[in-house]
Amino acid sequence: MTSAINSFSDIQITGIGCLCAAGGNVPEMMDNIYSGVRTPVVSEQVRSDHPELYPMFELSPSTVPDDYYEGPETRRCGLLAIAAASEAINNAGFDIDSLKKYRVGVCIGTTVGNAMNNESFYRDFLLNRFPPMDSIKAYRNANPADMVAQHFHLSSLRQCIANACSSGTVAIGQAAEWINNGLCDIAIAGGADILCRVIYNGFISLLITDSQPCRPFDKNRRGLNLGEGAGMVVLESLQTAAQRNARIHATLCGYGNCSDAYHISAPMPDGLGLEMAIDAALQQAKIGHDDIAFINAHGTATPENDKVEGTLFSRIFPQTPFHSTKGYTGHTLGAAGAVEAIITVESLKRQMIAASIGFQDPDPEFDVNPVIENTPVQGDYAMSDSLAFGGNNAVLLFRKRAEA
Amino acid sequence: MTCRMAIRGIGLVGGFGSGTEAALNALRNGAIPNDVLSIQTSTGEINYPVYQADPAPLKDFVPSGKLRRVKKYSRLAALAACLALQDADRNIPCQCSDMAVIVASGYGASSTTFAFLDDIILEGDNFASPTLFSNSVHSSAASNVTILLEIRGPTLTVTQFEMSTVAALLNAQVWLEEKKVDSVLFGGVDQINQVLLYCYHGFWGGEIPQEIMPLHYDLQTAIPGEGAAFMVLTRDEGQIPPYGYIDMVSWEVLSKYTVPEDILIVPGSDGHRTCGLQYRKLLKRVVPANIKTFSQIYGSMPSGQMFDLALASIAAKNGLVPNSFCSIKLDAKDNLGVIHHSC
Repeated sequence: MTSAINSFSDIQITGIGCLCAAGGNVPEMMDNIYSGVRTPVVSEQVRSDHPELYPMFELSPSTVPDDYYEGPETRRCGLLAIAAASEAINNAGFDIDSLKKYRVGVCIGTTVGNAMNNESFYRDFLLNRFPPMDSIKAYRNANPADMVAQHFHLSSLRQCIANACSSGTVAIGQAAEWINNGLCDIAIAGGADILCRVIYNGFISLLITDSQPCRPFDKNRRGLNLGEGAGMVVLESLQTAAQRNARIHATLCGYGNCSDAYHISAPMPDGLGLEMAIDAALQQAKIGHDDIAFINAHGTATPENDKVEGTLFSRIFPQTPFHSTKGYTGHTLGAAGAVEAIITVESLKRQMIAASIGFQDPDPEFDVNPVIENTPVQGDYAMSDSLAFGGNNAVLLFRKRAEA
Repeated sequence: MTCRMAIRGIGLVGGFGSGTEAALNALRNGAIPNDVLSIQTSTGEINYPVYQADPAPLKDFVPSGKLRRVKKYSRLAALAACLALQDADRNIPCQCSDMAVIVASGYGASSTTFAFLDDIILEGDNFASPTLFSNSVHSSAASNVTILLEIRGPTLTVTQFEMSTVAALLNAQVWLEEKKVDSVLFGGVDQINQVLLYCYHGFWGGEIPQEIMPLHYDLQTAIPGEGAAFMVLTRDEGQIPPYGYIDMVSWEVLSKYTVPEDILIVPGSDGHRTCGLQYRKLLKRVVPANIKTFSQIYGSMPSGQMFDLALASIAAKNGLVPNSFCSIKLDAKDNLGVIHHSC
């Protein structure tokens, strides 16, 4: 990173929306997380001929948007993004009409949502069954950022971020930078992803999925459980929020993004890239490691990921409480960073972090352990970090809303 | 936003070859589709002309051993990135953290995704390849560039079909403006595959075009292209940059945009009739002498605006077009990506 102090300014989070296996909206998700409820299932929707069955955190039929299963699969990711964005926009006190007064950017992280991985179309193509173009037309109209913009009648800048599993975190960070640089007044930012066979088979092939409910940071962890969902936030400058007397959930005060430059699917063992991203975010927020009240870790429960985070936290955050919430949500890939940003903001407001479900036995390879029960925290700042394929590390820092 | 970006180096690989000399040769002498690929259709096998890019020169920059598991999509990006760095007199590998990598792509690593699906469909789920899977994510090109060139700065991959270049470029401008980094290795990449050709046939069957005629707006003459175009961008500081400046980048809406009439216009029209008709409407007040297209050199691809920007910048440096130009790319939803360049 450049040695110059960069000019990031605080951005306000005025709306939050989320749906995932832990709940169909933010209050429901937080209630379930604090209650220790988790519901991994062997999916009926996503099947494979692997002899072993791997549980996933699937959206319940009562949670998914209308017509979710009836339309083309390629649109599902965008539909989840719209559902989460609707909650966030309502939560921020906006509606479609009031949004029209502003230049509203849309920035959405995803891994599946912009991929042409329609298996049934490709199977027909490969086997010379000459499929019609309907799936391709649907794909061209299924970009999640476009779908959200279209749904809310927005015409400003939009984009899909494809930074693999840090996409949701990066999307929120980039959207904040857009506001800081005058590209838009307000941003709807977050991530969305769905379960599908390509993802399911892919992660199994990497030997990093657990056939049991995942165990982040546990000595006996075997891997991740996949999940699906979407998380969206409404971001705006303090000035815009103040002008419309908006309720502020928290302030986004730091964003770091750095590369390992190491391996296409494994994190750098010493966590250098993650540490650089943390330092960049701390520098932006003008705070130190000791100011962080708690961490929502990436904590996928893969042996390598948790070792990197555990080792790094042992060194630079030895006393800071942390947890992984993937035991409640599964790894929602491009949505994960956004879902976890929302959990972090809510935890900061409540000054309470949920038990890191699945953790039982400390890993002797590092000196810190996640909290094992709902734990009060004290402080103004919280951190959420994401690691991704290709070694992309991204970090968001949040500051508690000042009491009136 | 006011940050003017200086273009310090350009690297390209496409159907015309690789490097700025090959690009300049194509600018001077023209370029045509350099290969023909066959696809099966319901009416039999058909041959489709394409602009196919060869990433083989990458081995001049990166040891072969490091490329063993790197797929063509990433190789194209890595080659263009290396050429841009070389052109900018930067070290390869960079071994730095003050440089960002930003990649724009319309279709991403679709070819690798299809290769991954081949194994599943033909052999069964147990034969899914972890190497293909980890290279099938859209970010694999950016990731492989950071890995091969040892760049530890921030990374970003943007996929927004035809608007990918302008959307990604806005992020580069933000990062330079905020002094998050001192330079950005910025590029666009797209790759041809059999499915793409099948879609061309499915959507625009009939007579197969043999050349792109970008200014014949009402004709469907698009020919698939692939390749990568990269630039080394910095803030407007220090030495005068060899390829001039990106003065302004903006996301516009067709109905509210007026094309400047006093500057060379580089429209991204690439032989697709649907967009072509919109280009015709958009450019109706621009005198023909003020319009210059480049898609006939590199082919039709969603990240084509990055090629327009790179080729027009090379052309401007070499006196083939005026010093100032405005690149405009339309998408199918009436959005426009606008990039203003000057020397």
